[in-house]
Amino acid sequence: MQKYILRRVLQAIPTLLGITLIVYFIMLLAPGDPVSLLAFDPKIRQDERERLASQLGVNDPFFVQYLRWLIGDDWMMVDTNYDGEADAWGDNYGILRGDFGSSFKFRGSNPLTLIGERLGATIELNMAVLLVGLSSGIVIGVLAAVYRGRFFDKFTRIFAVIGDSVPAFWLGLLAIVFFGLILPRMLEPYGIGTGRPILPMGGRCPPVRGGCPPIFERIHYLILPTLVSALGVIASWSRLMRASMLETINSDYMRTARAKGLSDRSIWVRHGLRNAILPFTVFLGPTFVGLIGGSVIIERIFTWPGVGLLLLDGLVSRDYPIIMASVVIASVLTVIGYLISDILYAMFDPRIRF
Amino acid sequence: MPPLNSELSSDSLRKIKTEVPFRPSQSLWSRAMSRLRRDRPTLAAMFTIALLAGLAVLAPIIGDLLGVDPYTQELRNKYLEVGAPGHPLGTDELGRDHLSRLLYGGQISLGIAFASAVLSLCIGVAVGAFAGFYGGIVDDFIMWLITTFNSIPGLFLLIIITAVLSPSPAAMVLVFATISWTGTTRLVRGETYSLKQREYVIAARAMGASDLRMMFAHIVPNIFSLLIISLSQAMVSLILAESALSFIGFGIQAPTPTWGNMLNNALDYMRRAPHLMVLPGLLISVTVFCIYLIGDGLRDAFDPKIAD
Repeated sequence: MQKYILRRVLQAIPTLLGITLIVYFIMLLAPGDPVSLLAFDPKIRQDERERLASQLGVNDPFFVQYLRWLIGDDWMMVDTNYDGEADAWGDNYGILRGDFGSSFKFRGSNPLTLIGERLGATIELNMAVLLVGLSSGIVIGVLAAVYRGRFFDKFTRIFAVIGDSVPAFWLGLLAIVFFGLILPRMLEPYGIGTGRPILPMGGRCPPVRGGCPPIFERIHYLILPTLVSALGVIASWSRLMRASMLETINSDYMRTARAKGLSDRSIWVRHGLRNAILPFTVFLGPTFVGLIGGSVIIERIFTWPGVGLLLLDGLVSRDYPIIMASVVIASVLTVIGYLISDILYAMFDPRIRF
Repeated sequence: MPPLNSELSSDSLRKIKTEVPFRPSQSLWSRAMSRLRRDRPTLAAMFTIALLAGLAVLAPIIGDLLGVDPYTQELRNKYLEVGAPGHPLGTDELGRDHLSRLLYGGQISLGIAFASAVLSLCIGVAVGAFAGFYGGIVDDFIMWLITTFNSIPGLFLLIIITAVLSPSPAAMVLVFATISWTGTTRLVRGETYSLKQREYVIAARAMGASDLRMMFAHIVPNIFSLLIISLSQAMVSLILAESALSFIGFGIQAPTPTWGNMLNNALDYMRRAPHLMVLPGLLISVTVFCIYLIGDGLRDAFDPKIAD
């Protein structure tokens, strides 16, 4: 087991390297080189521009630039006065040591600190979505399998296909219009509410100084984004659990359990569910990954101050260090998600040998 | 010839058995077609998609008939409701006709999704066949590339590429294909790996077929049914990706309409004109729903394990 985990962790290293390579390559394609960005002033002389270029290392070959970005250049001499000779130590630590450069927009801040401030919000929302989505998806799926062919099964299957086809961003808009405009107007004549939105339409907490209060005081801010984002999870997980449960039902040990005269409850829960839950471990990773990707959308609709919103802000202001850092961090989270999913699968399924 | 499963007396059954020594074997395709013909939901979904695509293609003609086009701004007629004279589905925040914007948006949304799904399928088949056929270091490299691509959240990758390069609609097809080829590649790689050990491929090799011929004349045609299903899945995810991207403002740029960027606009005018956000989203959902149904129907039709 430990060997497997170690091997799996080691396999993640080339993937992480590949991610940084792709991200760096895309960013190099960006129009407008850093020299003209920094030396926008037309009065700057050509030789000064060239010195700046050599300081920034933009004339180096791609892989040299990539390596300097990855591992930094404080261990090597770089040419700072453009005389063709290296003369001073570099001052770049490289992203492996957490140096993504400094943000253009938030002058001089380390992108990682900015992301760290936002990461909590993203993880908080996604955890809520996972909790709601998985628990209701699993329960619905199992019930649909138990009552196969009945009304509940047919109803939830149609619901699942619809839930898969409705994009989260449209559902989010409809939810905002419904809870923010239509429902309050409908309820007002009956003296319920004041015609103001029933649930907060966005944000993570009321705009107060000094950060957000603890989570139980602002749980109503989580409701809309969580439900909108969880619908897709519920839809796919109920289908998944139904299929997996039906497969289990038809297996020999279920017939044996029935023949032994066990109670229905014991057959379904102890024999059926425990085996049917195995796909749980396999699809946990992809679900988590899907949520991270979708967080850009959900955070944009509900102005949830997470990493996705930070990335969008960064793109609007062309803040390259922020963009690169948030993509790399999101990818690292993804890799960790797959890793945990694989390890869980290996732990839960005794049929897998190492 | 009557189907074998119909109620027949043992006499007539024996007669059939003696007169016709075997049931003419149905090919995979003819059986799939006959199954599809009986599959009402799938047929209805195909019809709906054909209708939507047809309307999108005919957008210029419909616009001429109604005397509207998607770009003319009538600033006196802003935020018209559904059913307004001259504008059957109302107008948007600049007084542009909503119906013709929806139809032209459909051209872009459906066109991009279809073109990039086909392109990504081609890339997937070529790369997957090579990886599965040759194995070894080629395969290792391609698998590394796939794992890496899959580890960057799709929307993040899409957003940074489009934000950095701000591509034209045609270049957008390339971008979508570059990020969505991995699924098909994985599928084709796996199938090629197992098919290349089958007798008919070995026979082809024995007769001196070249590697390319074995791959593309013997192996790939055998997984064609899988590829059709894979195409429908790719279309679903690409329609959703394209509209999500336009929705957050990085896809096709205004004034060109797509269903996604129409929703993005509607977000800003939500209080003034809530009707603007209903139809683009509904069209996306209906399209995705129908393609899901078609994909499911095709999978069942081609599944040899399901009895007729």
